Amino acid sequence: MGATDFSLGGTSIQLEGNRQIVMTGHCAILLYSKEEMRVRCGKLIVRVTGDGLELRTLDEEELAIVGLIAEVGFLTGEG
Amino acid sequence: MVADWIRLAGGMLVIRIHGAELERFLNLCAREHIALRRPERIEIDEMQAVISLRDFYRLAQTKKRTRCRVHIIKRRGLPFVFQKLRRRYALWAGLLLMCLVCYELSTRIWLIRTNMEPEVDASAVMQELEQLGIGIGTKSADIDPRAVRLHMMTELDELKYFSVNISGNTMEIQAAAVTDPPEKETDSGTHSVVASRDGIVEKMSVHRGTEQCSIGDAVLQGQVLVDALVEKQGQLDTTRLVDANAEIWASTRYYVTRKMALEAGKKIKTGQEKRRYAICFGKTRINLFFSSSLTQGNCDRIITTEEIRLNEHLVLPVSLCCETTIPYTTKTVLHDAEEVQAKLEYGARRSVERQIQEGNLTSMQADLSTEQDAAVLYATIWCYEQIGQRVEDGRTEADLPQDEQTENDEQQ
Repeated sequence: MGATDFSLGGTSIQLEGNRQIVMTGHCAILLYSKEEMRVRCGKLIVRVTGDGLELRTLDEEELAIVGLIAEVGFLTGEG
Repeated sequence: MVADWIRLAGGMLVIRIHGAELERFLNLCAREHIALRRPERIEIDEMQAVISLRDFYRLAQTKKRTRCRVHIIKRRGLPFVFQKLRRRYALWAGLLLMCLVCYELSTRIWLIRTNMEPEVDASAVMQELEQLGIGIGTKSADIDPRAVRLHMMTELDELKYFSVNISGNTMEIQAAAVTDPPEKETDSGTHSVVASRDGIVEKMSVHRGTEQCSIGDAVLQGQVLVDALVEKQGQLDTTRLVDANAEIWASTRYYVTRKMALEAGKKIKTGQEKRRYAICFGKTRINLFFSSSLTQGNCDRIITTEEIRLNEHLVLPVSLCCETTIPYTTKTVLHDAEEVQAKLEYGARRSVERQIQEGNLTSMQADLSTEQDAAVLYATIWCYEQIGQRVEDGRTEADLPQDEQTENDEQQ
């Protein structure tokens, strides 16, 4: 399955099917659970929902979430 | 896989983090370059992760800032194993002793391989080595191959070449014996070529001398085939004696009689095969069995030794000896004459082959008969062989017939 790339300001998001999402840039976790994750990427907040979500990589440059991704959305403000 | 082993060498911890600000805790860890592996949310205020021992010590500041509590669930890796075993002094002493013993054993010779020609007296070589203090268990560093070679070449006259090569725990000895130089043919003597056996000449190759036979001639043993006397062939030539040299190939015949008893003893294994093992440390043998008495009755005894080696050059000073005893009884059996014919024919061929210096067997005719409980083979074997044999010719220049011209000159 091919990967889908798009960028948000200084952050790049790569979606590999519905199994993995990789965010590159200065990202911070706002909410962390198995069903929902929210990640701040600059001014936007990326909302990932699904089932059995897990953090694969978490460092200053990269953040990867694996699991069964159902939806990826973007929130502004508080979200 | 390799990365996991490296991480385990440094020590890994499985930790459980409790707190209300777990997301903040994760973000701070990322900023501080603290690697949390396999993070897993267990409860709303609880998560689990794997962290290296080094990063764990750096975690103190972060957990204080986020008001999280960290509990160690599991410890894995080499530092924890060492910590667990640190008070087991006997174990450490044993480990240290084993390392020392391994080092000491690796510096000694545990296998001597010899590669000597059959003419070299191997027992004399080994005796000399023993005198030099070289044997199983000698330190490799104490052996000077050059000095050993010099000693051997000085002490043992029969040696033409001697070398000692040390590779790991193995010492390899190579030795070659001096061979007598071939007899030098003297120019002064004269020889004729005579037949060494009766036969029919099939091929002639005369290098020097006068042919006294031709192809197809039947010759007898001792008959002159090529004469040393060469007649003059022109005005300027003279009659002279030469050192005759020729190869005469002939068809020869041998008569062989061989006999074999028809009654023979046959081994019948009783099936009570017994194996006994022993461990050999250098020259010391430790039997792994109690009774070492010999088995009653007839038996075959086969001893095999297996060296334990780490690689081609590193041999452990331990070898396993296996002694197999196979008891048997003998039973008298009576063979038919036809059954032993093949053996007799083979023996007849071999006996003729041993007599032939140059040549080969061409055909054989054999008759088998039975005489007094024995099979008797009467064989006629035809061969193609070189029968020309150089023998010294007794004649001198004085025995030569005088030329007419020479006689006239003398009369004038």
